[in-house]
Amino acid sequence: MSETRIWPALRYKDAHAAIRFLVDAFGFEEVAVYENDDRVEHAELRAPGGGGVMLGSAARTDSPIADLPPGTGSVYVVTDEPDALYERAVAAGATVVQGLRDEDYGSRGFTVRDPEGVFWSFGTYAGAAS
Amino acid sequence: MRSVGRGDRHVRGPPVTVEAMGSVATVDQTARVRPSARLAPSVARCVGYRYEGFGPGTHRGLPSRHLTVVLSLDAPTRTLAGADRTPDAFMALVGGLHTWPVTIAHDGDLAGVQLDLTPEGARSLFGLPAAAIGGDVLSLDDLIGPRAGELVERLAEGPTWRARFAVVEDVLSRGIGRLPGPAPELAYAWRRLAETDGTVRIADLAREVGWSRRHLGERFAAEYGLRPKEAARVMRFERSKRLLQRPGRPSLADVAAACGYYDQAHLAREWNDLAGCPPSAWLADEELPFVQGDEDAPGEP
Repeated sequence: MSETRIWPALRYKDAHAAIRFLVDAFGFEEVAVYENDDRVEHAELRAPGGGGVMLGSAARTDSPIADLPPGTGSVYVVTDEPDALYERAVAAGATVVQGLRDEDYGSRGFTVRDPEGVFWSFGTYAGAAS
Repeated sequence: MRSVGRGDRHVRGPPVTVEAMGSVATVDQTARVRPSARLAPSVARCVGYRYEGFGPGTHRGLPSRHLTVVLSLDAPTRTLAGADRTPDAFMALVGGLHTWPVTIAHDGDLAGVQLDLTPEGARSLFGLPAAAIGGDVLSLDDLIGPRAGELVERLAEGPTWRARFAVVEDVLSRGIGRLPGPAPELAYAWRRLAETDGTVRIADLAREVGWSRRHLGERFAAEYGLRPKEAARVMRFERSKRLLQRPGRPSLADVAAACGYYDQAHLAREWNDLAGCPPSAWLADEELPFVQGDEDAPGEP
C-alpha cells in the first residue's frame, strides 16, 4: 500500500468517544493513540480502504489548529460497499444528512454527521483517473 | 497478567493526588500503537504507560487470551504470583496464559510498556508453544536471553513513546524465528474460540476440526497450556470484562446474557474463579487508570 500523503486533521471535545464512534460506525482502525490525563494528544485512525485521519482533544491548546472549532470539518471517503456501510453507520448513531443515493456522475453514496458534527461523505466515486 | 492500558473514565476511582508545594502532581499518560505488519501476528497490542502520584496499591492482572510482556521503564514490576502470592520483581517479565489473577503491587508510580502476545507470538518470538510457559510469570531473559537486557536499557533511553515503540519493534523483530506453527487444526480451534468469545461448543469444535474431543483436548493443552474448555472460559470472561468497561455500562444481567452465561449468578461465579472477586469489586478496586479499553475489539454491538 502506498504511503498516505494527505491526512484530514480533526478536533473533538470528546476525542475518546469520537474514536469509538469512527471505529464502530465506519470500521476505522485505531493505529496510534497518545493520551495525557485523559486528553488525546494525538490519534491516527486508518480507513478500511486505505488512507486515514488524525485527531485530538479540543482541550489540547498547544495545537497549531487550536482555533479550529471542535466537531468541524468535512471528509470524503471512497468505499466499495456504500449500502453495508450506510447501515452500519446509521446503526452506530450517525446523523443522516443525505441518505443513500445514486449520483448522476455515477457514484453511489451518502453523507452523515458524527456526534460532534463533522460531515462524513462516502461514495463509490474514486476521483478522476490521473 | 493483564491490563495496563488507558484509563476508562467511568471505571476509574478518584486518583489519590499528591499535593506537593501546592500543586497537584499526578501523571497519567498512555500511548497505544498498532504493531507493524511484521510483528502483528505475534503482538496484538502495544501500550506504553506512565502513572505518577497515585496512591500505593495493587493491580489485578486478569486472565486473558494473550500472553503478556511487561517492560519496566524505571522501577521493576513487583508481582505476587501463585496461590502463595510469592513476591518477585522484574524489569522485563512474561506472563503466560493463566486462569487466575496475578497481583501487581505498586507504590503509585509506574512506567512501562505492555505487549499482549498471541499464542503464535510465543512460537515466533520465543521459539516455544504457549504451553511451555504455562501460567507462570517468567523473566524475559529466560526466553530471549541478552536481548531482554538490551530492550530494557534502550527503552529507558528512549525520549518519547514513538522512540520506545521503535525499540520494541527493532529488538523483537530481530528475534522472530521459524518454529513452525502449530497444527492447522489447533490454530483453527483457537481462532474459532477467540472469534466466538468462547461460546462455540467444544463438541462442535471437535467436529469442525475432525478430531475426537479427547484428542483435541490433549493436543490443544499441549500447545496452549489450557484445555479448550478453559480457554473458552477465559475468552468469555474477557468479553464480559470488555462489556463492563463500555461507556454507559450495561447491567450485570445484560452482560451475563450477552456473553452466554446462564444467569448473573453464573457470571459472578466465573468472576470469583478467574478474577478472584466479583465484577463490582473489580470495577471499584482499580484505582489506577489501568483498566484498559479494548477499542480494537471488533464486532461489539
